[in-house]
Amino acid sequence: MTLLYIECPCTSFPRSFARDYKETYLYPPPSTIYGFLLSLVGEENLTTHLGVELALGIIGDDPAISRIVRKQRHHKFAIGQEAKKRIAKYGEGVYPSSNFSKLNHQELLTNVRIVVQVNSHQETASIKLTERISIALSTPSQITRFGGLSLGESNGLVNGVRSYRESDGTIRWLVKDKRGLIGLPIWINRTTGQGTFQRFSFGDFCSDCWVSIKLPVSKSNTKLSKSKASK
Amino acid sequence: MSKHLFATIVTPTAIAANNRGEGDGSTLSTLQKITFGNDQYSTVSAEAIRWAFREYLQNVTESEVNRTFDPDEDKYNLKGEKDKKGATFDSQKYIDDDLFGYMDAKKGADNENDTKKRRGVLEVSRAISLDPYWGDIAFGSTGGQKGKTSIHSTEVHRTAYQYTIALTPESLKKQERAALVLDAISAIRHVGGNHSRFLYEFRPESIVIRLTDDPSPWIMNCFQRSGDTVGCSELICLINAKDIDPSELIVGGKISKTPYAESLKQANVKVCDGVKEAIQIAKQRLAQTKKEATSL
Repeated sequence: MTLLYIECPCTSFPRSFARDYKETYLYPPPSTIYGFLLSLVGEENLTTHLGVELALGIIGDDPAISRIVRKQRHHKFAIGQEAKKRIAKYGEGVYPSSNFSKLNHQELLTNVRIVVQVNSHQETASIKLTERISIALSTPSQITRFGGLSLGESNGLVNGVRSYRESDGTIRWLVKDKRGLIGLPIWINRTTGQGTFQRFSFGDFCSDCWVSIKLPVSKSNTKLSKSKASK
Repeated sequence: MSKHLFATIVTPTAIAANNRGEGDGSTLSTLQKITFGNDQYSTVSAEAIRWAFREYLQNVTESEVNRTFDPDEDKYNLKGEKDKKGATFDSQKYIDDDLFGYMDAKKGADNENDTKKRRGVLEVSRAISLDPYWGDIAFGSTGGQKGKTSIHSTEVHRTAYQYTIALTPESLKKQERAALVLDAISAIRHVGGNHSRFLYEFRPESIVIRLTDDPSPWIMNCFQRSGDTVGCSELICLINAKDIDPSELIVGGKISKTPYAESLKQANVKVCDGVKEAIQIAKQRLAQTKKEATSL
């Protein structure tokens, strides 16, 4: 098992259902952490380490939330005559940034310091994620990866990753709790926008801290497995 | 094996008013602000800094830049935009498409997603002021005949900014473009706001460069205010804790004249008097690693 310390000076974890105003989750969602770990070890396939279990903890107070103004792209869904005019002017499916970007508010988090514990017992990959992480940390020259290491949005650069030390501070662990007030996504399907979510509350480390990263079971899959079972 | 290039830059202290017209309907030009702990700091977006990098590239090698800015027309031109449906971007041919990436949102003939995009290889963090913002405002008015809106006010902040860049040279289509980025750091201009009429030097006063296998920079926000100048005690702590290999670091600029430089030198960090000298050494090390990689 690996206990990692991650520090991120400025980032944002946009809420899955945020509309124009991009509010952020206060804590990094397990799905984000999973993506971050894959990036750390240079893995591009999202499904390679499915089944891995993660436990998340926060060091110190809750990160501060700031609100900034930023330009965002937006597409107007024009129909009828309006759509024809737009296509005649710019071409089919072309959305110039001069016309389709506008100012908007966004929330940022500062000074995010987290601890992640990784458990690879349940995953099926031949080289476990924990092994790959320890290689990435001890001998990074053996890892082939690209891009700055970021947590959340791609401009939320991570300052550093290393093993957790006692002197970093006490950890408040996110514990699975059906009545907890902290809701975070475990997996978001980017095509359908659907995903699985989990509620948490803060507590000491226990077995309920472990979150398993797996694909959500879609309805069609359930039907398929039922029909298979009946056969 | 991936070598990563990181650099944290701190600008000189001056009066900044990087207001970019995001007014709230009043005649007050506001600064972008961000909260760290219990204090509020002013900030300059990564996009503004990227704009300054683009401007440098356009000035130096316009023929290899796809998106150029025409200040007379206040317009951007894309060389790759042959016609409305043609190929717009080419990261092999154009430096800016390679470094900054692109996204061309399109639908295909059968209404399928035909978006062409490339993730930018050069990553830039938001610049954050070293000093907290205490709400200073400068008042002014338009010349000549006065009207209802002729009195205006501008939030101003006397401070220095620091930001970090990250780049993996081997992710570039042409690796030699990494050296161009290093040159651009010291030549950065128009980041100041007030609709870009306002001069705020955004050149590096001090710089920390790290060329490493480590995927994380560890040098973000390593500068902090120390009297009238800046210090880097955080960086020294990280070297002492063996989180950073001191031989990977190159430090240059005004910081070399502070007591912090002594501790850095003792820890075997390369310390230069000037920023440009530090950048030159970084370029040599980059070329060296490229040579080693190709000889393997």
